[in-house]
Amino acid sequence: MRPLDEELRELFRRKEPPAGFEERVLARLAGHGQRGLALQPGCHDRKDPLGGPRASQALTPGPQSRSVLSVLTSFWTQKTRKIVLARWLAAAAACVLIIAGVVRYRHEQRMRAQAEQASRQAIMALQFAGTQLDMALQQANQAEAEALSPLQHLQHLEVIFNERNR
Amino acid sequence: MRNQYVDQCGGLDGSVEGRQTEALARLAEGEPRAFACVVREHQAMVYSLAVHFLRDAALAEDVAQEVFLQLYENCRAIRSADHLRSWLRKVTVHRALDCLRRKRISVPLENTPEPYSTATVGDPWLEDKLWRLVLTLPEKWRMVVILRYQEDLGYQEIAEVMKIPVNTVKSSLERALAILRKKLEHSTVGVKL
Repeated sequence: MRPLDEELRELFRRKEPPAGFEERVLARLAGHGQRGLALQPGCHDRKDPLGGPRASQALTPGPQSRSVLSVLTSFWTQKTRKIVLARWLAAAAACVLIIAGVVRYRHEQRMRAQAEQASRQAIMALQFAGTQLDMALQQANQAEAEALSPLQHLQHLEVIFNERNR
Repeated sequence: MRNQYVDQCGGLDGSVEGRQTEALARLAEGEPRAFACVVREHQAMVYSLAVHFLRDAALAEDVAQEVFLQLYENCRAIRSADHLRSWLRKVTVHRALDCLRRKRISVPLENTPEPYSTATVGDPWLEDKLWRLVLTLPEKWRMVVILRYQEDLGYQEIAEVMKIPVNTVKSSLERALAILRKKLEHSTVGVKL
C-alpha cells in the first residue's frame, strides 16, 4: 500500500557492484600504466585498450568458445572495415561528383558570358554600320537634289550665251 | 568498517567530505591508493546508475569501470567532492546512454541477467511489474526517473547532468510517471497511486 514514489525509490535503491569490482578497475588501470595507452570512450564490444579484466570477459566461457568468439569478432571487424571503406569511397565519389559539377557549371557560366559579350559587340557593330549607311544615303540624296537636270543645264548655257552676244 | 577504510586509504581521516577532498588531492598527485578510495566511495552510485539504466550487470560494470578510468585521466580537473559526484553522474549517464544507443539493446527480461542478488524488500511481483513498465519508457525519460529516484536529484540538477532544459526534465518526469501510473492501474490492486 505504498505510493508510486516510494515504490520507485525502493526499485532504484543503490546497489553495490559485484565483488572484486575495485580490483578489476585497478587492474585495468595498471594495464593502462604498463602499456602507456590513452583511455578511449567505449562500450562492451570494443576491444579493451587497457588489457585489464572487464566484466564481460569474466562472463565469457572456455577457450573453445573464445576461439569461436574471436572468429566472430574478426568477421565483424572485417565487415566493419568493409563498411567503413565503402562509406569512405562513397564520400570520395560524392566529393568528386560535386567538384566536377562545380567545374562544369563555372565553365558553362564563362562560355555564356563570352557569348553574351560577343553578341553585344555584334549588335553594336551593326548599329554603327547602319548609322553610317544612313548618313551616306542622306548625302547622296542631298547631292542628287542639288544637281541640275540636262535641260536646265542647256537653258542655263543658253542664257549665258545670249548675254555674251548682246 | 571505518577503521578498515581509514587503514586502506592510507590514514585518511575526518568527515566524508574531508576524506574525499584529501583523497582527491592525493589522487591528483598520482597516488593509486587514493584512487582506490574514490572508487570505493562512489562505486555504488556509478554502478547503480548504469545497472538501473542498462539492466545488464556485466555491461553496467564495464561502463562503471570505464567511468572510473576516465576519472583517473581527468582527476586534475576535479575541484571538490561535490564536483566529483556531479562529474561521475554526468559521465555515467552519458556513457550509459551511448552504450545503449550503440548496442541497440533490446532488454527482454527473460534474457537479461538478473542484476540484483539481494532480496527484495517490497512486493517482488510489483517490483517485476514496475521494471517491465520502466523499461518501456523512452531512454531519456528512464534516465530522468532513475536520477530522480535513485539519486534524489531536483529538476535543475537532473537538467545539468543530462544537459537538457529544466522544462524538458519536468515534462519528461511527469509524463513518465503518468504512463507508469496508468499502466499500473490496469494490473495493480492495493497500490496507492
